[in-house]
Amino acid sequence: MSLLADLDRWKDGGVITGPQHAALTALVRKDSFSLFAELNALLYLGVVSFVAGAGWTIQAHFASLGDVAILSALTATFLASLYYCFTRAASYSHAQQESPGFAFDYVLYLGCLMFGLELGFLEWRFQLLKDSWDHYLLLSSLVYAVLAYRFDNRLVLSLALSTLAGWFGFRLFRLQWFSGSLRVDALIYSALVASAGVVLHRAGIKKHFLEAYMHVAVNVALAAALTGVFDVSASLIYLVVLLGLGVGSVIAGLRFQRFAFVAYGVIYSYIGLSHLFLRNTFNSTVTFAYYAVSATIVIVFLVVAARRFGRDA
Amino acid sequence: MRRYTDSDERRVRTQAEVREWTRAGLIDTSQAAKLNAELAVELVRTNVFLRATVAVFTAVIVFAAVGFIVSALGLNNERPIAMVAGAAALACIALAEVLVGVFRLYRFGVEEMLAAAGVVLASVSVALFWSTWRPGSSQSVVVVGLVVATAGGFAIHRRFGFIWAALGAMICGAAIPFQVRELSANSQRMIAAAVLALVLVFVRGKRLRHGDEWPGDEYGTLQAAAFAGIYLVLNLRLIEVIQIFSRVHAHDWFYWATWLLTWVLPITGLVLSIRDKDRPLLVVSVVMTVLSLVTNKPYLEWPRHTWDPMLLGVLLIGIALAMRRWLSSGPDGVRHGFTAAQILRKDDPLLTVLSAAPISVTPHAHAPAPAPSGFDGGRSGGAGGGGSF
Repeated sequence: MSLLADLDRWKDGGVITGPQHAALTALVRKDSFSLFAELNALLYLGVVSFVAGAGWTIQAHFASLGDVAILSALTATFLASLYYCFTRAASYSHAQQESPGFAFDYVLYLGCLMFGLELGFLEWRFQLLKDSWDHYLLLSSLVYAVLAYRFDNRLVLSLALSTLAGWFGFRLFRLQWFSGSLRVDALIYSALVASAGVVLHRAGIKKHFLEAYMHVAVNVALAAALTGVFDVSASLIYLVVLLGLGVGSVIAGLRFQRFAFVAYGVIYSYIGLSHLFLRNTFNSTVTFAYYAVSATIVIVFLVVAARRFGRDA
Repeated sequence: MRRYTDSDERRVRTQAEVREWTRAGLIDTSQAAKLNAELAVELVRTNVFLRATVAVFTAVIVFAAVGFIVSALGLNNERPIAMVAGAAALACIALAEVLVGVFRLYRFGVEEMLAAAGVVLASVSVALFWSTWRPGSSQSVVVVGLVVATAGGFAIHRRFGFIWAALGAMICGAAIPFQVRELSANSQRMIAAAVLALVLVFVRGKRLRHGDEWPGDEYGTLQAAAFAGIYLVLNLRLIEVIQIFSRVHAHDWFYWATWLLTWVLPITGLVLSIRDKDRPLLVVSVVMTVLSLVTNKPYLEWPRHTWDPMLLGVLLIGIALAMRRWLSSGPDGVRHGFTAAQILRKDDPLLTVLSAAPISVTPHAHAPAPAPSGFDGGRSGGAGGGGSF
């Protein structure tokens, strides 16, 4: 039986009303076929392609273009996009707001990317901050975050969080990858990010942004703890931290029906535990046996969790 | 014969529609509850995250178990390893059958990965047996493995309806000509494209017959994948876009025929998808069109400029804005049955993937310091051209 026949039957049975039947029938028949997602994707790709081309052109032709021309163009684009957004957006609200126009989110996104390009160019040419250039990333992430909140733009919030993660990751890379206190810094950072997300959520400020914060915070915290497990000198402490965070992530994921966090908690914890168990094992038979048994235990847990909490497909 | 009934497949899809209608406010939650009660199925399902995690750990179990047996028995020769792999393949498929038949799992991750592992192990097993019969013929071993994987993928798609299995079968089938070294590079591409074209003809007929509803939705996905596959196989310049690989192409008839096809295929796809309002084909056609724009200059060996991506960006933005304006200016925002408005508020996977890509510009190398004159702050003597930021 087709969906159209189902709709007729539901209308005859009084489950749906006549107007609902008409609307749903039009939808199923594709009388009105939405190109919303495709047009948005084209805009997004257009913006990213434009900014990539701008960066490439500046890199290749900065000598002939001249610093003033480049900085003027980038600044003008950034300011123009801000002008466009500030003049068209509704006044700020803590609640989720609809975008005032089709291209609005992408104009802001373009402006933010051009701002990042400008900061990159400034440092590349003039070395204002020299070895501390990564602070540009921090600055740009703060600007992006402010704009994301002002204009309720999840795309720019993602940019802010990924730039912040980039700043954070670069500092770790430059200071030899999660060694010593930097690992603690990473845990503190993720605690701050998570706290900021929770505090803003509880204050009712853009509550729908919380999940983006938590994805970054949980991943950074679990990754930091996991690298600690790989560090022989500190492994036991970090194993406890990893398991604590992993269990917390799983419990919170199940409780709030956010199953990505269940996956994070399980996978990071499993890798950490497996490393600890197999660190001094050089027998392949034992290694295979470990993986077969331990993964079975995980599967049993996941199946039970899925049956109890995650039925929704 | 399928392990799931037509009724179950339809109900599962209708449940998803009801969810979207509820989210879009087209029906209320009490109506959705009544519809869902009517559409209830005796299938055990889960969400995408648990499904993916369960699938990963199932793969770990299967391959660790096979590794354990091989290691514990100290097997070193190909024949006994092939026997173990073959037995494991049968066990995996049997277990998947039990999980679906007895426990009624549906897209749960375990049964999917068991079926996939069964096909992979069967391919390895047959390829290893083949290598013992035909030692020294590594080419034929790979071909045999791919043939088994193609057949296996197709079989588990028919049996369980896993769309990814059919896609995997298509990929393996198209990869076979590339393993035959006796064939010229052009012949390899032509045969691979012909294989995919056969798939396209077959699934398109089914798609047209069934429309959007099950099993038409599956055929629609396969049709779009076959279209994309033909394009990927025939676009000789695609790999050079990323500027890692560079090949010298003979400018023979095949070269120019493929250039022509890089335009004919996306345009044909666009025309068909717009006429039929076929979303998977439309998305693939748009992507193919963008790729053709990108690869056109390399094809024609025209000089490439650093500002080409900017022009492409302006073109894409212009098309999106013009399309949106044109559609919105129609009666009720609709023209020829198309609208730029968002009807269902589901998260589009395309946009989700795109927005997840972190696009940040990070300076990781310094240009030479600017000239100290401070005259105009503009030029630095032309140095630093090889730098990047």
